[in-house]
Amino acid sequence: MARIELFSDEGFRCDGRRPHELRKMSCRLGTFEQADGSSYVEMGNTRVLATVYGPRETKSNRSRLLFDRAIINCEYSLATFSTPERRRKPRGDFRSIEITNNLKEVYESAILTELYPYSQIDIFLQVLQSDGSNYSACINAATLAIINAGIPIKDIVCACSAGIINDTPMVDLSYIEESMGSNAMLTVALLPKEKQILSMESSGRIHLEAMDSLVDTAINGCMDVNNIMKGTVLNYVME
Amino acid sequence: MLSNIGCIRIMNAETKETAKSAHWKARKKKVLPGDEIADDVTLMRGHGTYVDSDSKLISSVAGHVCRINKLISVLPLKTRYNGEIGDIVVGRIVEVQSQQKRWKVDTNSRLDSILLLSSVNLPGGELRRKTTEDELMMRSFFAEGDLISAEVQSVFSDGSLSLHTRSLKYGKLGQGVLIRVSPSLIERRKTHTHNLPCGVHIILGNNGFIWICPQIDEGTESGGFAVNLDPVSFSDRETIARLRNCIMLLARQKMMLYDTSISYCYDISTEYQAS
Amino acid sequence: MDLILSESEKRFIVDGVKDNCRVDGRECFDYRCIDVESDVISSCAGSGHIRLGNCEIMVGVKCEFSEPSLDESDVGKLEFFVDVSPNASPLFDRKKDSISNNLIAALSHSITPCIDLHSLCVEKGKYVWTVFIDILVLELGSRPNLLDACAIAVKAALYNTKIPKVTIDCETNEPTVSENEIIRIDVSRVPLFITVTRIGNQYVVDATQEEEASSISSVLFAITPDGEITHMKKVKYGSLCPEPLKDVFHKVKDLAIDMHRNLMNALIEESKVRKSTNKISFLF
Repeated sequence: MARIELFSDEGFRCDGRRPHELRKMSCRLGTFEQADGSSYVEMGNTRVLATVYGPRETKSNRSRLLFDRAIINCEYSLATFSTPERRRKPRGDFRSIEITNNLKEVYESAILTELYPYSQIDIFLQVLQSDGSNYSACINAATLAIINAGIPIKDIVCACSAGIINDTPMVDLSYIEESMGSNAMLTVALLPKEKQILSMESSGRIHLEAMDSLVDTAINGCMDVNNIMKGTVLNYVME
Repeated sequence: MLSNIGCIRIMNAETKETAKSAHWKARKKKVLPGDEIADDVTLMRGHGTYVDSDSKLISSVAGHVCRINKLISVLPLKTRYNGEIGDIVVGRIVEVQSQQKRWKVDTNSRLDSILLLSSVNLPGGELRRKTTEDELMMRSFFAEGDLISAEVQSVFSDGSLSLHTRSLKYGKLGQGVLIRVSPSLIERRKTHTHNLPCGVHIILGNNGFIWICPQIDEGTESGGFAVNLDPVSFSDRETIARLRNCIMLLARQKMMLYDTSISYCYDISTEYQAS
Repeated sequence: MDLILSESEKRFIVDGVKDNCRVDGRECFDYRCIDVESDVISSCAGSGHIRLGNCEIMVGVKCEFSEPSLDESDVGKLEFFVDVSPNASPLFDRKKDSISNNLIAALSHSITPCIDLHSLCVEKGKYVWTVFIDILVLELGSRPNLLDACAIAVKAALYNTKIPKVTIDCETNEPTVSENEIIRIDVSRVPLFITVTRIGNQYVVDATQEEEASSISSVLFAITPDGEITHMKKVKYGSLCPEPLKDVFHKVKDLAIDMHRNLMNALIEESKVRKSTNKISFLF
């Protein structure tokens, strides 16, 4: 198969975006009635559902509960039909476990857990359709679900990915851009108000000199995402 | 099936228009997590806020700002129940712990609430010290799955609630329907138990649990130990079903729930089928 | 862990069913409003999404090449897979519960025989299509109506499944994918499920969680659009009296025929709308 041109000479990416442009992002709060909080996020063709249960008392593992703060439990699953190639298992592979752990760390630092001793907060993420930047879409969805559940959080945590293709940094990579070749990729999760990075993860080779611009690009992407999320939450509060 | 949805939609529009006063769109300041509320250090911070490194008061939830004197708090639209002393709640017994002489009650708060054996009335309203026999009889008073109405007596240091049923108003609930809504939709009022004009009895628990049951005659309250198992009449049943659907609709539209808003919605709905 | 109800609440439900007026005002053989949409996931050959009460299911259909089995060299395969998302219910324990196995068994028993598997053959003895039907439970309401909802969603997903037509070059053995020709799966005989739950001595369809908690047994029926019963099974622990069941047979048959008709109308209408406006469907 001929190699798809990821970045044209005219400055367009393979799906017609400019390097700094996000895909179309839309989100919704409160998709499920049973859960304490839930949300749905669409970033291009990547679609993620998040639900939050808690803070609540757990029956199963009381010994894990902490006396001074709530524990956070995450689970990330990727539907078997979400990827172009069918997956055998929805969860349990290394990447899922890694993302699960990353999410847990992000939200342990973002949620004001010390308000809820002896409780547990469950955050479940379900990717329905995967088209690149799953991890950042998950963080955005989880944040909205937490806000929907009325759980105190420091700020609207948002995330965005960025990569370098043909020496140009670009935001919000799609599946093709993510998978083609040895492109470097970086995902950043941010507390936007104070610009504090909560999570940062990169893969692929990045030249040290390109690092600065890559981080900046990702952060700018986060701020754009944050504006969209703010709009959604504001609409929700106004309802 | 489809026609039903149609009528619900129409009803939504109507109730929304007419019950605007009860709507969330009260002129209150709305904030999002991370928004600065104030940087006045003399203010006290309440629920839903935190102080950042520059000692500014920041919101931690999305909701509207509520200020009582110096206390500033942010109330989210949807949350678990935060108990306050004196609240009336409806809860379900989830565990009988006769060793510790208490019941654990699910009240939609983040930890299970506790009902001590010493804070219930015995059958027949007898007032005396509880004996070991009573301890053994605990499950016959309230068993797992039973619904009770109770009042919040105190809040423990870890945030769980202690309940009491030391009044004939409270106790076990008989036949009826439980609805769960967000606690923030229940308007705080003087009374939370009503006999509605449509002929049913309703308890609007502050914790967002709503109990609807056939009307009870005044003066026959027994603290709920003598549960009436006679079949409920068809008309009562239909009213209860209709009222239940009305409340669900109001809750979905995020409208405040209290006796007038509910009866009003009920009156509008009479044009439509109960289901 | 299931919902626990007090004795008097159960009593209220049982008496209500006897009066033909259930807690939410429905009659015994009324369904709640069902929302169906199809073709929602673009990475699948076909997909469906349904919401019935507080039960929400998504189905994705994917097709892969595979070798046929030796004894039947010209038939394709259908494979079902059910995953209950952790999102579905806070009380649900995925490891202990056999819910997904039961669903897979019931669906493959009843749906596989109703599909023309010969149409899934690419080259006799060499290649056939394996159709993977992946069911993802997003929100778990009551158990009885889960199966009913699954069957509707599967049917909707199969209805809009498009398999590319593939021809095999006899000499080089290279498959070529046709650009504009597609195979569709004939769903006209695919059954829908109706689960009736026994409450007291009566039967109801589309039981809520509360009603499920006050029942002891239920019966599931798979019924084709012609009104034939292709699969029937009693589930849960209680016992049944055969007499009132006979009455139920006729009621569920009529109900199923109605449901089939409504579903097909909805699907046809939906495909028309999509063609004319080319809208990208937005979930929920």
